[in-house]
Amino acid sequence: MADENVLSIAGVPIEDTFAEAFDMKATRVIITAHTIQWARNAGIAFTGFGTSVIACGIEMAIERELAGDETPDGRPGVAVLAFAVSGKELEKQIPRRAGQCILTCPTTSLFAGIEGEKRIALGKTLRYFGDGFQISKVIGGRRYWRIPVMDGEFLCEEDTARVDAVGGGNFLLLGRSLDSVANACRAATAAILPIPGVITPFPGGATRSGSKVGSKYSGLVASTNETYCPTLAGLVPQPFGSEVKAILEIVIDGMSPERIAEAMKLGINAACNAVGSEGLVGVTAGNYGGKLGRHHFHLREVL
Amino acid sequence: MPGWELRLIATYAPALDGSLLSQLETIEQEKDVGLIELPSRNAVHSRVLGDLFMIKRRADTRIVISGDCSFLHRIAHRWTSRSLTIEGDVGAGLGIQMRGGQLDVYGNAMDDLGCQMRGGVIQVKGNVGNFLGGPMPGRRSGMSGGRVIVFGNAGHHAGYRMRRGTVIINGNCGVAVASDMVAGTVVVRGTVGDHVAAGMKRGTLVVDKRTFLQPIRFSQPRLERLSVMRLLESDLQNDVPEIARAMRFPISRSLGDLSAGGRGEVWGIEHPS
Repeated sequence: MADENVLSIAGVPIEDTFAEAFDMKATRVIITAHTIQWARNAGIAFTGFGTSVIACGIEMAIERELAGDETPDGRPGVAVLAFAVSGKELEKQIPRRAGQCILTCPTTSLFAGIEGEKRIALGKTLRYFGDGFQISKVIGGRRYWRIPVMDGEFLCEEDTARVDAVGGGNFLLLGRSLDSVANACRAATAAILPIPGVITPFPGGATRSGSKVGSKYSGLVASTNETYCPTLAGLVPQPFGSEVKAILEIVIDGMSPERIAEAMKLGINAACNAVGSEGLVGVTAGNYGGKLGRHHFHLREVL
Repeated sequence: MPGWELRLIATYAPALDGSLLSQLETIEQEKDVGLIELPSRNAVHSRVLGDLFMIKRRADTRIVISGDCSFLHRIAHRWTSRSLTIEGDVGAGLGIQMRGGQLDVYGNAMDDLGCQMRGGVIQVKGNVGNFLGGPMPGRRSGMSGGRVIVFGNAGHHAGYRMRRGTVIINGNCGVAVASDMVAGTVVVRGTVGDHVAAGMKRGTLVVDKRTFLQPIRFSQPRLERLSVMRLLESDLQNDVPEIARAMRFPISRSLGDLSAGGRGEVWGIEHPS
């Protein structure tokens, strides 16, 4: 680790490896409400159970909060980014979640948050809840649906766009203690949060359950990555020493590879600077040997 | 595509069908412009454009017609994309079945303006006749898209059988505005005549609450503040800022025409200044 050729930040060595990411389909929607609290509540419900495509079918999170002058109806709101492995999966997930989490939330409205040719239904599907009392309104060339509900009307844009995006950018923080790596994670996700067009879909932006493809049990598509489980030291070969006590991974989905690279750079810098070499043993990244994803984010190039 | 300037030189002309003027969108040769036919109903008085207008190629891509063209009907029939400016009055059926582009009239327009139009924008600085945005004779559906902005007054039956799109009337309008309306939005800043929204099925009519009597065919008005009003506010901001501003306040909203089983809505604006 004392090698001069080793890149380090605040004394934390950065492993010469790469994060492997995949092509995904993404969309962006805007949820507005009477107050930011309601918008936030709807956003949190809408993005719940949206951490990984492995079992959720979708990865999504609140991208950022929006002031009244940034939303179509002048009310406060949140922007949500959603990523899935296919457009079909997005088309399946978004209307179902919108129907149960946004339509149901008091005072909310739902709008498209991105432009593009390929479309995903929003109001186009949800309007049937109006049972014939729904009203279509074309304003400024966009079609909206007004669905009568108990607090007035649920206003919902006809559809939103879906675009090509990238999912699965990541880096792993190898910590000397659970406290230090958790603090480093907090710093990293806080640094990534302001970047537009990226999300960290796991709870709090980090995950502890780094996975490998497949399992000894048939039918499981992913299982724990024992190589990175410190409690299995001595039982399975591991690429780090005994000083590593806990590892957390930050997974990043973005609207473009450039956004992910930027998020990785800021996140790694923030994590290393937050706890230094006293907290982190090193930083590495997850990949599958470069065989599965076509986007490779080499840590040293990114930094 | 070249721009054209057409200046009326004839002092008198019979009523002529100007629908072939839409060829101006695609014609490239000046000599071809002069040969555009302007048929009359009985064919006896038919003319070509060169007989009535002095034609000049413009440096920009705009098409400008100047002079009193009230004898020319159905101008910009099925207009698709270009910008046409008319400095003077126009006949009936301006922008009939229009699909896109923009028409600006610095004068008055006769009946059937924007009849069955599907897209684009028409702005009339003067007054317009009856059946603004209505259907063509014998047809069921009125305009189904686009935007018409009238800076003066409108005649009777504005928005009759309208299916989609937006009509904004800055002045007053005659009887039966938005009658038999199926969808879309009609905004009237001035006064409205009797039989407001008679037979209205769906759609939205925005009027000054003080200037019309609530028809019994509509539900009792309720003061409401809906999200869609904020969207309409930003949509109307440039054309009728006073009405757009009024949309920030609760609006008196009633539904109908109940006698026709309709679910349209009339918004009575509280504070247009």
